[in-house]
Amino acid sequence: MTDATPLNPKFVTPPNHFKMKVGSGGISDALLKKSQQAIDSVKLDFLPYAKDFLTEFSTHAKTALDATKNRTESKENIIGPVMQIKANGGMFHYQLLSDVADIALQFIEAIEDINEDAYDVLQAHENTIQAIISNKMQGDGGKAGDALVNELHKACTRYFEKYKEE
Amino acid sequence: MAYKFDKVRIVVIDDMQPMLDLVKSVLTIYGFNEIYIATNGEDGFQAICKHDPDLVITDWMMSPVDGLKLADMVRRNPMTPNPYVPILMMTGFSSRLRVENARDSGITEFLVKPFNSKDLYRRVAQIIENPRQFVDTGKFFGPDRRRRSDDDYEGPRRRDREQENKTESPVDEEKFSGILNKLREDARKI
Repeated sequence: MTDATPLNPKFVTPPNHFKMKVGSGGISDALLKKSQQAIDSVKLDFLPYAKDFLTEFSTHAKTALDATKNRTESKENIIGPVMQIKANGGMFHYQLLSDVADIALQFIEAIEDINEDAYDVLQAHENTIQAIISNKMQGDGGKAGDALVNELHKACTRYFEKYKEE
Repeated sequence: MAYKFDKVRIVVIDDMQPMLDLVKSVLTIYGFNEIYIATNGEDGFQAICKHDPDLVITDWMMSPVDGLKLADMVRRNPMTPNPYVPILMMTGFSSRLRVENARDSGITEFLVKPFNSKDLYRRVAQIIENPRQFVDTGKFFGPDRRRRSDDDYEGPRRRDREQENKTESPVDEEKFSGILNKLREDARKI
């Protein structure tokens, strides 16, 4: 754990205290099922959180579009709230929110900065997330959800086709 | 025979309290009963120093100290009781670049949110049964990153790949149709 670069890397196999404490055998299917039921039945209204994250997303997206400097920082600011929607939506009954936010997250991570076209793509995501929230659409939306997700994929693909030379 | 988690100490860190509550509840059902929680990396590090856990589960994006900085502190800070403690990072990020970034900060395993109970259990079992050796190169100290990461990488197409997790929630076709039409209208100018 020194800052100086050694001639050769040192390898250490630390004692596995965790394994020593827990033993063997895993956990039963019954416990896995019970714990999944705990996730499925969690009582939390995620929508107020989602609304706040969406407002933050919207504000930062506009700021990023207007930014003439610190564009990387602006992009990171958008990633935060989108990542929160993606990470938590599916944990709290709103898988479709996660799926839509996931596409937005991939898109933001893949682009250099926010130009007018990128902003339009982000607004399409924002409007879709807003509609899911307004209509309190839980679950993944089945085939109708697939159609929404595919449409957003297409919008992102069109953007990348347009800017592939850059 | 089954795992006995009752003697295991675990610290869970996430800035979203409902997520902390949920993870704690799942871990309690697994059999853990020494679960300590914190809502940011700074408090998490204090909890780690105080409780010397056998496992740390942490979120990535937190303020003022995020999950990557926390991992670095655990691995390098002289105050840390066990620099080899396994760290499981749970996050919404799933790109390979992000996973590699986490690995470079000393993260042991990576769990993409949203996850189900089986996902979480698989990562915990991986840590128990297949611990990574540690490497000290001077610039890097942490779990050896050379193990193939494909098993850990959830990828960006979770919706397509995880059919087993699909819900059969009722769908209001009319509402969806309205949203889809608006989306197509928005998308036309792109």
